[in-house]
Amino acid sequence: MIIIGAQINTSEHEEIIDIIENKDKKRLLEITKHQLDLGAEMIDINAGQRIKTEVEDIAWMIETIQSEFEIPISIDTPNQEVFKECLKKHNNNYGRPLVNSVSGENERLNKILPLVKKYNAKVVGLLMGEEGIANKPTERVKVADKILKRTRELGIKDEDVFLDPLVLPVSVDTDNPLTTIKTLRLIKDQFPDVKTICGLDNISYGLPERPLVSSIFVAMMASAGLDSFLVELSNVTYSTIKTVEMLKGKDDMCMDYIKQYKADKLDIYKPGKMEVL
Amino acid sequence: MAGMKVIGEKFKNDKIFVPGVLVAARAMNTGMEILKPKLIESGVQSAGKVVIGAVESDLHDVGKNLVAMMLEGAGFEVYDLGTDVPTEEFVKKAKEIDADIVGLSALLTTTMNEMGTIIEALEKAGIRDKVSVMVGGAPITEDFAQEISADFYAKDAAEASNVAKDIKKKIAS
Repeated sequence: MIIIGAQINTSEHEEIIDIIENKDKKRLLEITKHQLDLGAEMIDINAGQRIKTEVEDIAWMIETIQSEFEIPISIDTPNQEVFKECLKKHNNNYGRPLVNSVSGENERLNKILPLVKKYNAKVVGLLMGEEGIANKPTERVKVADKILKRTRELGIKDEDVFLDPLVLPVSVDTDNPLTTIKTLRLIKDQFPDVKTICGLDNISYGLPERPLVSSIFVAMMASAGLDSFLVELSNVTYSTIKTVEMLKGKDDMCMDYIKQYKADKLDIYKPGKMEVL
Repeated sequence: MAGMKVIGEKFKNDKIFVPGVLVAARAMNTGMEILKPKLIESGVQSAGKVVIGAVESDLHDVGKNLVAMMLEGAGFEVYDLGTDVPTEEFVKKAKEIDADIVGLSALLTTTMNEMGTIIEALEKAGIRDKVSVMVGGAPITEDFAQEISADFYAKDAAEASNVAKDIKKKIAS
C-alpha cells in the first residue's frame, strides 16, 4: 500500500502557516523527513487556507521538498489554477505527481482532467457528484462510472486513477465505515485496474485515541483491497501497516516485521505512545 | 436546557465526544417536543431566533449540526437551512423570521469566501444591523472573521453557545 503523509496541511496545523510565512526550509524538511521515516512514500501538500497565495506557497513547498528528497508530491486542492501552475514545478523524475483531487462534478472534470493528461500526473477521483455525497454504495459507484468515462476519453490509464470511496466519521453515523468498505469492494469488482485511495483520519473525527481508530480501519480497508491512503502518520498507523502488509503476504518470511520489532518500532500500545508527530 | 450547557463544557474538555453530544441532543429534542406546547401555552419567550446553515457548495454538516443543537439547548429558536445553502436563502429566511443571529458554517477553504458574500447581501437587503453574524468551521479564524466583518467567531460548538448567550444579553439590553 502506498502511504501518503498528510501532515503538511494549513487547515490542520497552524505551524505550517508559520513555516510558509517564514520560508522555514529547515522545519519543512524536518516534517517531511519525519513522515518518510514513518513509511510515507509520497507527501501531500495542502495550503487551502492561504487563498491569495496558494499557488506560490504550494510551488515553494514542492521545490523545497524535492530539492532534498527524491519523492513525488500529492498536490491537495480543488483549485485548477494551483494544478496549472504547480504541476509545472513538480520534478517528475522523482515519481509522477498526484492531482488530489477532482470530484465527479462536470465543471471540475472538464477543467482538471486535461491538466492531469498534459503533465502525465495521476489523479484522485472523489465519489461525489453534482448531488453531493450519496449514502448508498451503488450510488457512489455511479460517480466512478462517470469519472472513468471521462478519464478514458482523454487517454488517462485506469491504473493512474485513484478512486476515493469517501470516509465519513463513525462518530456521527455508525453505518459510515461499512458504507465506505462496501463502496470500495464494488469499485474493486467493477474496475479491477483502477486504484483506490482514501483519507483515513476522517473516520476517527470526534473520538478519543484517533490513531487507534484510524489504524484498525486501515486494516479493514486493506482487506477490502485499498491501494493507498492519506494519513497523519503516527507510530500506531506505522505498526499497523507493517503488520497488515505481512498478513497480506507481502512481507517475505515476515522479515520486515521482525526488522521493525528489532528497531523497537512495533511497541504501540504502551500509554503515551500514540501521539501524532 | 441547562443539561446542554454541561454537555458543552464536557465536550470542550474531552470528557465526552461527538457521539455523546449527539445522544444528549436526541434526548433534548425528544424532551422539547413534549415541553414545547406547554412553553408556548405559558408564554415563555425564546432566547432569540437563529438562522443557521453551511454556505453554498459546502456539504459538511457535522459541525453545523452540533452548533444548532447547542443553540437549541441554550433556548434559541433555530432555523436550520441545511447544507449548500445559497446566499439568497440566508437573506430570505433571516428577513422572514426576523432573525437575531445568522450562523454561517464552512469546512472548505474554497467555500469560506461565501461568508463574505452573504454578509454583503445582508447589508444590501438592509438587515445587516438587525442581525449578528456568527461564523465558524475548520478553516475559519478570528482574523478571517474580522476581515469579512462578521460579528462573532466561534471555535467550536461549546463556544458558539457561549457566544450566542452573549448576543442574547446584547439583544436584551
